[in-house]
Amino acid sequence: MPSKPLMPSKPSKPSARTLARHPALTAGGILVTLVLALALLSLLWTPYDPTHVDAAQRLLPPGGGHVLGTDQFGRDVASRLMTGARTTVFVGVVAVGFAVVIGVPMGIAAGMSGGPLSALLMRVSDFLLAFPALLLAIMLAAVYGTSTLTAMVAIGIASAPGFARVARAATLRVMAAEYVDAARLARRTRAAIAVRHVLPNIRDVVIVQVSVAFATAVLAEAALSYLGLGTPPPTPSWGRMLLDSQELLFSRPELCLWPGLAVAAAVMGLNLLGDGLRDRFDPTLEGVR
Amino acid sequence: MSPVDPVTSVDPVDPERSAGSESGALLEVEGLTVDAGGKPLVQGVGFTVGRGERVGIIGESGSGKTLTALALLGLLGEGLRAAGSARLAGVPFDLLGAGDRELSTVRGRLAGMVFQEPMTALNPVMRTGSQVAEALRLHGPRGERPGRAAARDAAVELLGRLRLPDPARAARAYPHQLSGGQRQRAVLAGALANDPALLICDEPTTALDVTVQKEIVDLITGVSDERGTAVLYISHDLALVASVCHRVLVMHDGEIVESGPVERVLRQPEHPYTQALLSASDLSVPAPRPPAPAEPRTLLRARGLTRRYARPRRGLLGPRTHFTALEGLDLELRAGARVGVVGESGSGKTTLLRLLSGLDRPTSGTVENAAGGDPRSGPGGGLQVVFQDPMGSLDPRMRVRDVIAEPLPDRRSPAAADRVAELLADVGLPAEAAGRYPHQFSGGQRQRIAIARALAPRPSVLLADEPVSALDVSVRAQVLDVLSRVTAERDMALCVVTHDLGVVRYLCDEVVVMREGRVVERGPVERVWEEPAHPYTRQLLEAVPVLR
Repeated sequence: MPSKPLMPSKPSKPSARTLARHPALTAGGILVTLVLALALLSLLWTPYDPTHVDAAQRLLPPGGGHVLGTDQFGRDVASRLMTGARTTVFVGVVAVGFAVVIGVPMGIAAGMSGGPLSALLMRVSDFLLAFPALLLAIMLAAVYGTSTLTAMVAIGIASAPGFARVARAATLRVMAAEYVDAARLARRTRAAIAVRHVLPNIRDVVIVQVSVAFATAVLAEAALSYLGLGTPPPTPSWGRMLLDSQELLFSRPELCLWPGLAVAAAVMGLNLLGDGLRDRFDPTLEGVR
Repeated sequence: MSPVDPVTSVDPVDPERSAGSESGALLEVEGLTVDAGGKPLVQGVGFTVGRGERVGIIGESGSGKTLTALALLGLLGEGLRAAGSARLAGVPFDLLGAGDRELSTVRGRLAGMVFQEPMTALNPVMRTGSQVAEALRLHGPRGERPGRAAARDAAVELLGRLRLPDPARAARAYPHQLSGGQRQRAVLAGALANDPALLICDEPTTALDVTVQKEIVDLITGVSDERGTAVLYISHDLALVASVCHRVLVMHDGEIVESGPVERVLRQPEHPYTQALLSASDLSVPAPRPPAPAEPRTLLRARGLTRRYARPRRGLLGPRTHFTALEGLDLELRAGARVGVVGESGSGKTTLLRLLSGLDRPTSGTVENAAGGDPRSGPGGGLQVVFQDPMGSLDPRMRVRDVIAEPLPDRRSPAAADRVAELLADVGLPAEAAGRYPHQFSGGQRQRIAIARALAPRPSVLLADEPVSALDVSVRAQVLDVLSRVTAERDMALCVVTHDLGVVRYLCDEVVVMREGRVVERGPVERVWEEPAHPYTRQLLEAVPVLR
């Protein structure tokens, strides 16, 4: 009997059809791209200097020269919102990057070694998991003073256990596969197996976790800034904008609305993106919806 | 689960005065087509099943045999659409056009279904007896549905009829507390609960051991003979279908290419596909053997191999108990030897292979590796393994080139690239396969890639773990021939671990029969086949369905 012909290679790039099949992925992608674009744009151009205080221009209504008006110090709200996106993205990237660098190797090591080392690493991660990011940030801020860096480190440490857990679970699955046995028979070292077999095969779940952790980081950064534990003034951040506008809640409610909406859009976008990616990567969910 | 309310208007009429009985056929299928978004998967399938008749559908993976069965009961997945007509005697509507509410009056009542994997067919958090009782209570004829207690008693009785040992206990058990064969009996009990006129079985024994397979198949044919139940039996196993069915349909690429009485189709197949399938599944003529080396060197010697696994403690301070997977096994592999290790699940054959290859260490006993490496220094010295699942044994993220080059010392060099090309040619794959990913190949091709990888470091011993049990019949012989040829050309020792006696007979000279971690019989293949000494070997040999 003739053997079956080689199947044509299947491109795995997201086509228009895949996007239509995954509405969450599309919506999340659009929202996240929007936030990223605003952040990048703010590096090059903002309508006004976001930190320029001008008492003569205070509390201008939206429209006119200022698209979203000005706050009680006469600063342009639209410019601050854009620069705030930059802060959010920066904190998120560094914090999540920190968490990935700590959490993923920890999870892979735990998943590959098994036994006492695995138990130890996982108890450490449980211990960290028991601390809310906020508490950790307050603690670090008390010791090292409030700064963007403290906030990033606190958020990063708080997110690392999530990555360790996800990476460990995925690693355990990979280690049970026969191709790992084959690699051992090929006399591959454990490090080579980790890099060549484990890492590429747990990539998808780590990416999903990145988008989820990023959403948490955005929320945590906003909360820390709101409490005065995050980015110090005058650097604009969404959380601080919320804090500043709080006293005007009843006279100028839209001043709270803008940063609030921005945080909501970023978090929702990232969560949708995470869900969408999970659906796309998980073949068992293919065609379920 | 909420009870399904039958819709009065579509309640099936009495089977006795149905329209279908005039023609005598129980099930009439015409022009059945299943497509997925315009892509046809099953095309123009038509057949009939008479009352009490057992009809087999034979086909390989992707032939559309399962889709055909699922379409009949409206169980197709989303995105799949069925067209055509299917009339079941006693049902006033067409099965293919019917909605879910209408079909729910047919499923489990006039037609029962048994799936391949009994573990997933049963609800893991519900007692077995309750699931059978549920079938009685939900699908029973209106007005005659038994009460809770009566259904429970009936379920126990039914489990007993299907020869489950201690049916009362089995009814109280959860599915995971039963063995695979017992679970399949329970599924069968659920399907037969309301004495349906038609029983659809989709590979009901593929996940089971041969001896259990025989029991289940005997049970199905027994029920069919006794109660006049018609059976639509789907399988890839020609010999099995031949032993169960009266008539057979051969499916290929979504179409029925041949149909007729079992004897006629198997003796005088008309369609080229049937002929090819028959010759491919016939492994009774052994593969050509290499001349034995003059003075065979002993390559691998195992003595008193024992492997125990610790069971989790019962309670915090409970005693630590052990499960013995393998007990005191001796084995010697010489150059050019071809040894088959046969056993059912739980016999310890895979444990043996892992110990021999050095992937696992024995609790006691030794493996002396004279093949070019010490297994204690790590697995893989002069010895390679071909694994069972050709998808799971190839890293999906690596190109074939990197997969095959993995065991080579200098895997980026031009010499390695040449070696990969040479190995691909050796296993009969085109050179351009090197740049592709494993998922772009069929199962048989993937297994050949796995063989090429195993050969890459020029091992002198090749161990194979169920090398063809995940493959279609038509490619089985090809893969076995590749295995046979490459090991013969290189004077390698070959040790095949399998549950499939046909594979051993085809490939091996010597056989080791294992049961529950111990060797029950060993000897030359011909001798063991002709005069099995141990009753278990005899039982195994008798359980294998043979093409008449």
